[in-house]
Amino acid sequence: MKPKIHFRIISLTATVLLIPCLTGCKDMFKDPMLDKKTGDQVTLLLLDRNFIKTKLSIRLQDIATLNDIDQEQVEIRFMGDDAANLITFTGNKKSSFNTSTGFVEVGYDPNIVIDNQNPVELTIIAMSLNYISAPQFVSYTTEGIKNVIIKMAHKIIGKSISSGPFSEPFDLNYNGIKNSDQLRFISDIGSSPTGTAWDYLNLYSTASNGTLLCNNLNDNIIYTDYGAYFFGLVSGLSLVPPALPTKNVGLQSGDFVYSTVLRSGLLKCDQGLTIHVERADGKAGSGVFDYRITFSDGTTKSGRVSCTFPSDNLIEQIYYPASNAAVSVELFGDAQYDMSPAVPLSSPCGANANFFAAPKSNLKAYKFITQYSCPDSPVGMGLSIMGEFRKVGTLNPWTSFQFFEGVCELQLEPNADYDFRVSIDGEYYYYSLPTDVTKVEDFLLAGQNEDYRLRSLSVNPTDTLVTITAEIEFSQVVCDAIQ
Amino acid sequence: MKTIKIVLLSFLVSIFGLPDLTAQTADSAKAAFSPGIGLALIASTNGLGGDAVYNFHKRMSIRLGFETLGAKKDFIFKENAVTYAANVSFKTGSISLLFDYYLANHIFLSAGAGYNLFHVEFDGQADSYLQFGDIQIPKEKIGTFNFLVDPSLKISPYLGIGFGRTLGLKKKVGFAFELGGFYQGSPDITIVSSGLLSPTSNPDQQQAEKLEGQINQYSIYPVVKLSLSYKIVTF
Repeated sequence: MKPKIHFRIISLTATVLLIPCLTGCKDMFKDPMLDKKTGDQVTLLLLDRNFIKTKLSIRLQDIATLNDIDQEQVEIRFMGDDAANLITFTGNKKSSFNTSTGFVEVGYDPNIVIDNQNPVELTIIAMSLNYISAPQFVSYTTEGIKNVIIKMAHKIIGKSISSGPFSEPFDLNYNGIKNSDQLRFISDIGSSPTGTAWDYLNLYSTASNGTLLCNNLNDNIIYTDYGAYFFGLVSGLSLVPPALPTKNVGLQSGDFVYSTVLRSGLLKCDQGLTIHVERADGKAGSGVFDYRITFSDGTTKSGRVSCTFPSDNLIEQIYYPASNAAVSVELFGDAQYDMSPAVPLSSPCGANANFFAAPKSNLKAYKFITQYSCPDSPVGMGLSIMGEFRKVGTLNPWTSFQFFEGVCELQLEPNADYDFRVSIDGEYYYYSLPTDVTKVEDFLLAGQNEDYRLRSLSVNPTDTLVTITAEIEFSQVVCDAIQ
Repeated sequence: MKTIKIVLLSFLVSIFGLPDLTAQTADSAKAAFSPGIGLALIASTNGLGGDAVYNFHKRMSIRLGFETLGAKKDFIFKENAVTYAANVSFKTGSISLLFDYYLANHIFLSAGAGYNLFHVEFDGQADSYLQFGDIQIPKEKIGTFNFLVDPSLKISPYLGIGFGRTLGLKKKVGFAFELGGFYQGSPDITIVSSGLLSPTSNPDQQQAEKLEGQINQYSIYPVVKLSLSYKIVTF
């Protein structure tokens, strides 16, 4: 009997051991750091290589047409102590940037603290062969993306000031002559902000060397002060905000003169106004939205905010009428979102204007999840970077969005083709993508080249959301360039 | 397919053969057995510890045990021009309640469950600044990472086969060698990261889920155990 008993014992033992081993020990000795499907090195850590938390996103517009100035090389020059802290996309310090796209992103040294005690203060002026802007002062007490629109005037020298008053509420004398023909009118720059309590009026150019004298303010009720700023391309001399304007200065031929006034009864709102934006359904998304603050005297302040929902955007440098602090704040939708109505506030100072963004009804949500890596590296990249898109074949305005840690959610038209672009140091890099889920994979696979390959790609469509997840491996050449 | 058939066949043979086996050996066992309680020292892949053993039948005993083991290693690695100081700490062990059934005097099957103490932690932080153009990104801004690996089944079933006695049958001292495994389920990974490494724990990136997929084969924690027991009380 003994052999029979032993056989049964051994059989049972074998059963007990084999079942878990066969089911549980599969792949037990495979290297878990190699991808089970592709055999590639697994990405363990994701690094956001976007080290720059504060960026000035600068857009150049023609002051007359409001079109982007994207057909000529423009130099954007920064002045002030903090200009020494500006950096390019690759971390190189510069105080002057060039672009021919009408757009440039300028970084601020992330090692410099920005707060109420240490605000970033800069004066920006843009110039090109055919255009010049008014110097614009900006001041920020918080980190983040700061949108600045620089309006540039076409340098077509117009009539001399002698041929018309050009709305000046004071006398402009050049070389002792009121409304001298040596002071040539270029443009009304009333819509360009100084960034301070002062308002610009007109831009002139000098036709000869001489002395500028401002006097005889004709309305000291509306205005409390007046004067002029100047900027010399040739002379290199300048007086720009936030300094006070001058009333008497020697200029050289070709210098630019910006007449300016200080309106009465304005108070500065030190605490700023926060524009809060989120989606009513609490979902993700991003966009860049125009805002307009209308003050009780009918004047306005406008600009743009970059939002990754939910988003708080502090609007600074607000000057409001002391007689009535009430404002109305509007935020305008874009190609992705409709925005909730204007918000009335009794005062902008320290107040919150809350807005809800609702996706447009004909659009569908597309979530892009991206990881970038280098060959044989366990550290990948999830980038936070701004981009823009528009439908292929249209001349619609580009719609801005933001990748946050490699993820973004966009509202796009199904079964359409879109162009995307990102701007790096004033240059746009373009790519296209169809939103037809049956075409995405083939399209992306076909787009692979010697610079990158797709490690993995998944497209998961549901009724309400299409999730496209892509792991992209750069070539070693590209990785060496990035690092 | 053939393997599965063999396994099923051997299982059926074992089950249907079992009543025979017990009937043949029961009489001889009855005469020499007296129940007892003892303590055992344990050294296993699941840790060092001890068992309290109650041998209430010649063929059956129960064990309440605790075992634990830990290890820690510091190391550095360099990626993307940043040096990271990392640390891996590994802890295993269990508080277990097991039932032993002796197929023969010195062969037994164990089944039960344990509160699984398995825990792996991999953490670290940047240990060098990153040169970025003209500026340096300090290591504090690059950030930290922390990976936690835990069993998805904290109460893990156990199955094993042993040779020897978990408590001596006739002698005060017993010795056993045991092979088995805790079924702990596919390990769960939790990631916490900060600074520039924060995309690592961004839920949208599903980094934890991806890594879980890489280690889901480790659902069984293998146990090789040696025990040395001493019978304290005999009834």
